[in-house]
Amino acid sequence: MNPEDERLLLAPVERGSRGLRLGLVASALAAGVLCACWGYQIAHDLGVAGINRPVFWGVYITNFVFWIGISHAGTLISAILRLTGAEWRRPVTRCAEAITVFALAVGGLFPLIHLGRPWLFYWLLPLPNARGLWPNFRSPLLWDVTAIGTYFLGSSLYLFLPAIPDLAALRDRATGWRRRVYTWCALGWRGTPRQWHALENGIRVMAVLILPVAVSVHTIVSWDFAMSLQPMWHSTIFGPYFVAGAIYSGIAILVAVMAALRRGLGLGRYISETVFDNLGLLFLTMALVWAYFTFAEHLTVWYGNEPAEMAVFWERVSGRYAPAFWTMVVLNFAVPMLVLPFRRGRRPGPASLVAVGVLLGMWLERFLIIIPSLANPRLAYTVGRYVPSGVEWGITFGAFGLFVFLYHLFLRCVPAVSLWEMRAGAAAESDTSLAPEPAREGVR
Amino acid sequence: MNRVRLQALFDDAPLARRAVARLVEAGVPPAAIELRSATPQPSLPGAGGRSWIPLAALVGGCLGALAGVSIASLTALDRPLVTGGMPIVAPFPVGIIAYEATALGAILATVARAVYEAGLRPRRTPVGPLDAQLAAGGVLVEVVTADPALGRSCLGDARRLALVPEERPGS
Repeated sequence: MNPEDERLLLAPVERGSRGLRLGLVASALAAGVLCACWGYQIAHDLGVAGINRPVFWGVYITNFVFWIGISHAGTLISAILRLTGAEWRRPVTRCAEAITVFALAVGGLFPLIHLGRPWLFYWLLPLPNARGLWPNFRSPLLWDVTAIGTYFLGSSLYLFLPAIPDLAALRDRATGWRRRVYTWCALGWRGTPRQWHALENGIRVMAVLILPVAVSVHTIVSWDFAMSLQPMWHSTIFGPYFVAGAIYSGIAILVAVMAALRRGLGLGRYISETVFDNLGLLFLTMALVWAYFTFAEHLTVWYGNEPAEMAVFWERVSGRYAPAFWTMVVLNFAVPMLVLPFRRGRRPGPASLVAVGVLLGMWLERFLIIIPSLANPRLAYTVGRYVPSGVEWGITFGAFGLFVFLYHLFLRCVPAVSLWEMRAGAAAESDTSLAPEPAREGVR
Repeated sequence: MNRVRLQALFDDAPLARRAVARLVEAGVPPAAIELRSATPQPSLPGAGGRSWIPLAALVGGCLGALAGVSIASLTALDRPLVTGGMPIVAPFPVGIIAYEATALGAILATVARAVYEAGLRPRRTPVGPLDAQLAAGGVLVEVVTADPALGRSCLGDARRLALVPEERPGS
């Protein structure tokens, strides 16, 4: 990599840009909508949301499942690409890992919002209350807290660890208060052979450890539903079905974010069309996997013909929720199948449009999993309706704003593309002449 | 005697290795020599060697599993609920909590060990005049010596050479 490349990659951190500043302000305003609506809900109680008997889980839990799903692909893809040594991973990993952390942060807010009294959240932590009672670990909600907490901590560390050399590079270039902050964050990194050795080993082991955690998180989220006897929730394939959907939506946001970075920050040289071509193939594969699971899930319900389950089935396919269902099918299956098999369809423009459609489709999928089942419980006299309120829509919109805001902040602090990994890739390409020589003992 | 830090920037790892060899042959203690690079350089001295990170992950995982099983089972036993003949300590939930706690323990131990092996800790690191130039490629050899002339003679083929009075780490 030449100095011009470095300057380009560091420009958003060192100088910023008008576009970044505008994006930061706009997303902050959108995130403000979340704060305002949440504040209103706290002041006026949970009644301002549309949830009511029998639909106690509405848009908030839809958003929770959606954002936890979004978080899936980042760390998962990064870990798989690192472990397999795929060269095209280099511009992808940092963007992907950051998506995971911020999506988890946003997704983790929704159970708090849904609580109505968020200050009582600590009841979910493994602490005994005033009467010495502990949380009940038999509840899937406690499993959620444990799994998401582990994944958030692990993903944050998995983002931080490979960023240390870049933080040190920024420390060496920065001045004033920024230098002090980067000095603290870089943990005294100097780039000695011993440090590189430990870092690479650490990243490799972390990549192995984070994969089963990533898979377990969305499986456990699916068990929130599958552990109940609610129609169309009590399914043995809910775990893998949720994981497949999560990876699918995660790849969608990765494609969308990378297209935005490529265009907004002028990173086309690094986030190349080859990267989109490879991601597009992965995207296409996951579209097929998602379609397979969706088909299998509906087939077994239809073949079983159990009345309570069929009530939900027909509500989805031809009832009140049919427009949402068929929109989901078109966005998640038909459009990707028409666009992504072709090389031109996997270019940044078309692929990112498909990705936005898939994000909408996956949100609808989460909605359709939750709401029709609750609206049509087994006891027919409790059938209900659910219409999300303005507060719920405001919070949903604000969540997207919060995610974009956090990502913008990140771009102002750390290079979107890992500098040292790009350098290493460039060096590996250009230099094949380095033969190992015996190490000299004692040199740091 | 006043000591100085000599920083020499070499174009590639073989040149840096040869400079290190000359310094050691001239009597500079290996501990006074530090190599730095902006990318991993597996051919440099000190780049290989055994790592205890996988073992740390294993130990951390075991401790995490123990903690997970303990918290899920002991809290159930602490206030036994009426379960209608079902076990007080439910094996599946305990397994799920133990699984996550195992992963958490392994992850924390991995990061802690990696940070320890790399000798990282939050501190002010003196930045030398050539540190920022590492990005352009190459390997930096830094030697702390009381004899600048000796250093210069061994590092003569460096692309750039800089001399700074030694700063105490953390100052």
